[in-house]
Amino acid sequence: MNGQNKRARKGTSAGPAALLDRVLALASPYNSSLLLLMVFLVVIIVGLFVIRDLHATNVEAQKMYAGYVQGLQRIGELQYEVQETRRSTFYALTTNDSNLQLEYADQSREADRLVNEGISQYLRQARIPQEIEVGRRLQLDWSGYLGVRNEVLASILEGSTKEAVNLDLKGGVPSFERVRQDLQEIKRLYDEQASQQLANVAATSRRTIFRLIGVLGITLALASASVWAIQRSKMLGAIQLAKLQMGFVASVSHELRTSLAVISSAADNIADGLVGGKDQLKSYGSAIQNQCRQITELVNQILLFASTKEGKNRYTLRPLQVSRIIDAVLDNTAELVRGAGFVIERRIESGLPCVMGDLSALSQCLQNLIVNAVKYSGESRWIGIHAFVHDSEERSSKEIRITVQDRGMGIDRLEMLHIFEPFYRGAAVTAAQIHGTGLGLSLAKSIAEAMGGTLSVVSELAVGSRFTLHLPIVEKQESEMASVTSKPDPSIRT
Amino acid sequence: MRRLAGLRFILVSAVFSIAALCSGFAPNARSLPEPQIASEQNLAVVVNLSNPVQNLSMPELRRIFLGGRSHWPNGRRITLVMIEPGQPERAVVLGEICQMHETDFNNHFLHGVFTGEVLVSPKTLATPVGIRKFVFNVPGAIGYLRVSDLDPSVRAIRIDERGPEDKGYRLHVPPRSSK
Amino acid sequence: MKFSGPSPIRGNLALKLIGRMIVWRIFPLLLGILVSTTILRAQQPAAAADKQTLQLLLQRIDQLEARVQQLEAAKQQTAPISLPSAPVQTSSPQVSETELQTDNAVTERMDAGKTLLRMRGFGDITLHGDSQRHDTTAFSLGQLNLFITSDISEKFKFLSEIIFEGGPDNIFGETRGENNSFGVDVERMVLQYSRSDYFKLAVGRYHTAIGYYNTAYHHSTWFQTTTGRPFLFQFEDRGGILPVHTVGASASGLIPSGHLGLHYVAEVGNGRASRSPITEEPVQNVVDDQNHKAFNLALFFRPDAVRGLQVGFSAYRDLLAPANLPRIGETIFAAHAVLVRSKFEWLNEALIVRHAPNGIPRVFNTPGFYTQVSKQFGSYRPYFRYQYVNASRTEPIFPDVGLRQGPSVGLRYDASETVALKLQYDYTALRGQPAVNALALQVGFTF
Repeated sequence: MNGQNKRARKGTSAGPAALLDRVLALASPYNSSLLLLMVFLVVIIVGLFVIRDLHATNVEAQKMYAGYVQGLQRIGELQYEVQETRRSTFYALTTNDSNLQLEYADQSREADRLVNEGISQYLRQARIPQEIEVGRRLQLDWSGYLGVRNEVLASILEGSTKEAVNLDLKGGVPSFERVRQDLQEIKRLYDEQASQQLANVAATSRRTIFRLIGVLGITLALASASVWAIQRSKMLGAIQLAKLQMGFVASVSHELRTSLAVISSAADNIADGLVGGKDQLKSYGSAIQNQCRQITELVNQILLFASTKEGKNRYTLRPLQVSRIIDAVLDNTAELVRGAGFVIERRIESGLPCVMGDLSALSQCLQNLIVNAVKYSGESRWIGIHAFVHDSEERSSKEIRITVQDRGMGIDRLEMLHIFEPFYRGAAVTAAQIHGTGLGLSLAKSIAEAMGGTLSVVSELAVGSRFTLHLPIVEKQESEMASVTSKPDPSIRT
Repeated sequence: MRRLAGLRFILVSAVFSIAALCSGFAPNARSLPEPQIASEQNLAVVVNLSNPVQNLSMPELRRIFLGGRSHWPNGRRITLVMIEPGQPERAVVLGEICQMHETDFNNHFLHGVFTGEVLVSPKTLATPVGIRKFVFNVPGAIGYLRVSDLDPSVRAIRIDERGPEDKGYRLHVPPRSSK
Repeated sequence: MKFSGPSPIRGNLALKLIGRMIVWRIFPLLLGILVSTTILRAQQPAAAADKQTLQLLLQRIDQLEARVQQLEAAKQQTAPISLPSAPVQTSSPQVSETELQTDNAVTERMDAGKTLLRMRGFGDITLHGDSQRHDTTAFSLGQLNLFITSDISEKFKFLSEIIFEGGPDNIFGETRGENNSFGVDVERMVLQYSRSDYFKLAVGRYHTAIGYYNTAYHHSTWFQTTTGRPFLFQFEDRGGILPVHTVGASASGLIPSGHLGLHYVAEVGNGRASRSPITEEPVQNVVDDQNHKAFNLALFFRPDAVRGLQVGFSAYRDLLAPANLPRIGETIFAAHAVLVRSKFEWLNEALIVRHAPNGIPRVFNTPGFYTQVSKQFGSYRPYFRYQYVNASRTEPIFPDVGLRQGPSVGLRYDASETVALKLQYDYTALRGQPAVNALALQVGFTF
């Protein structure tokens, strides 16, 4: 025990590496998967943000491009229609035919209507004060030019060509020049905004690239760390399993050696003729029988475990009375219990429905629980067995619960995660030098699950433990059949 | 003897003149037949929307259409626009307002321009739509349209306090022939 | 076998018969054909008008095609300098470098060289003969009148009459110039300013507003019903007694008078030349020989009640200073009442020219009048005119005029909208001279 304690103390005093190993030791396969899942989720979330950024950048770039092209097209159209307004007025001057002059006047008016629409659209879309100001100025200057244009057209149509020319030179040219300058101002503002937008898009794009690189880096690091952690966890698990297996081998060897030593000693004494009398011989025989039974039980347990892992067990499921199961278990463990000086408190609720199960398997399961209760009760000599109906936590129906409770040393909360693992033996148990193979609870859990149930534990250090076997209740017809055709199973030894 | 011959000649000439006078001198005599009223449209005289004139008497309208007036009250020069010869609207205007035939109308303006009394000859356009657009574009323009060709871009004036929609309106034009 | 030829008697009879046939049958037939052809032509104004309209339309199409070609050529020339080659129709263009480059283009300007100058021509050719001694029957080229107008602006307008006329001038009985030579005269050159219906101002050389005829008819016989002007209103260089032309300023307009249609004319000008001798050009185009100006004031009514009626009065005042004569105050009073309609006209004018030499108590009055009436019958317009003027033998300015009176009768035939044929007979009684019978066949036209 001191050597084991020393070894345990060694394991705890190695520093950060040991701390990491301890952490990783806690990493069961499920925790590794969770870790992997968590990393995956983080990557997904960050990736979504990055995708969102990329999409936003892309949309902004598309919008900017479309806006730039459309804006340039609108400005170009506006400039064209402005020129067309003036050009059509000139064309009217080149002919003396009033009908043709009217055609050109119509063209000029149509062009100025399009210009007015363009200016209104620009003002509607103007956002910054500069745009609004230049838009209003353009509107004002355009109105001024149209006033002159109307007078020029009227003079042309009236036939006062000279008057029209003079009007245009005096009023039309300067006002048109103002309009042209306003349009140039609009174009300049537009170019400025486009450049600014382009810069914004470029900056966003750079930011996104950096973020993406960061995310990829982090993802790679996390993935690598996760892989390393998982590998290390598996390695530690394998080491732990190897240790447990070595422990199992050592324990089994010890158990076998102990029993064989007793048998050998008794056989030697008998062979040496040291045993006289019938009573002494009977006592030696009884001792040899007990040791042989222990060896047989040990081998049976090991074989049962092996067959369970290989999936070769074939259970015969039948409706069984709970009381029958418990009586069978108590019969099997009566000698052990009596010999250890334990008192078993048996409480079975009346009218319990039947359960579907294999009598021998269920007996073995409960037997293992009772043997553990005997081994780990410490100073206490009480074991309680209680059978009752309860609502199932997993299903919407009721279930039979069979509890085996002791008032022993209890189980550490951290160790409770591992007690159903094969070959596992807690540090306290090992330190207390309580012999065992580490297969009992693993077997019991396997049997419970094969019966369609589960095995749970509630424990508190220095208070005790309560193991509960949850079994589903059989259907009514099967239950009636069970009550008619039930027989004792010949495989159960009492 | 010679004097007697001369006197005789004068007498004959005077008789001839009086006869001609009686046949020609008839105040406001219409030389054109009365147009038929049945199934006809009214012909509106239209001006630019900026023109302050709301009503004109028929003699005033005649003066305008014969170039006797050159400016509106607001100082704008009057520009008369006519539809091209052959159109029924033009025939109505010449007959009812100017009381002239086509040749006389053309000669009148030619003579007016020649004497300097008329500043600008009328403009001639091909279609009623052209007239409407001309009047819309030229602040001093005056033209004429069927009531069915009117739109809000021009304004019809009243003649002798009667609008185109009123009873007793004097200008009627035959419906357009459908081919 | 003998063949007997026709007897001479039979031959003569045959000839007579043939002659009679020619005279009494064929000739009337030919005459009838000629008359009916003329009547048919007069009765088919619509067909002639249609043909003319077609010709006018074809001419217009030719003009438009030529103009379009000019425009295209002008556009190709100006395209690299001014605006990008955008179509006339309002279709949306592609954004191109050319349009972007137009940002720096100068604003296009209208061509100030374009004006709206119109020219119309008038002319006439006359075949005339009279019974006056030393006169011969001759074809005479009348005045070739180039009537030019230009709409300078809404308020300003220019008009002029440039006359190419042949033959000698007859100024107050004095003949100057060669018989068959041509000269050029600027008979009218007026810049008109039209402020409103109530005020118009014209400056330049114009027809004085004395009476009606002088301002209603100018240098175009095509407009006139008769072959020539009444003697009273004959041009100065054709022996006229009135100052038909003046160089100065003339204000005219409407006087607000409701339905009366009252108009006024107020003129001031150089007046008649009075440099010695007066046989020089009477119209003082460039230089006035004295500071005194001639004034004229006219008022006339055009009442709405009577369509075409004009009744007016004018008073002209000038001071002449002929050589070797005291200054002569010239006063001309004129009154007129005319009724002019499209199918009928009746013109009546009377005036008196008073010459009052300074220092001499005597006043020389020269009265004159004319009446003219005509009526349209289709394309034919028969007319009659009677005119009278009586100048004293001692009239200081135009002593040669004397008494002239007599009727004129004629027929005007409008062969087309622009060509008129006139046949006129004049009987003019002269004081102390035999009366003159004259016949004239004139074709007057405009182009």
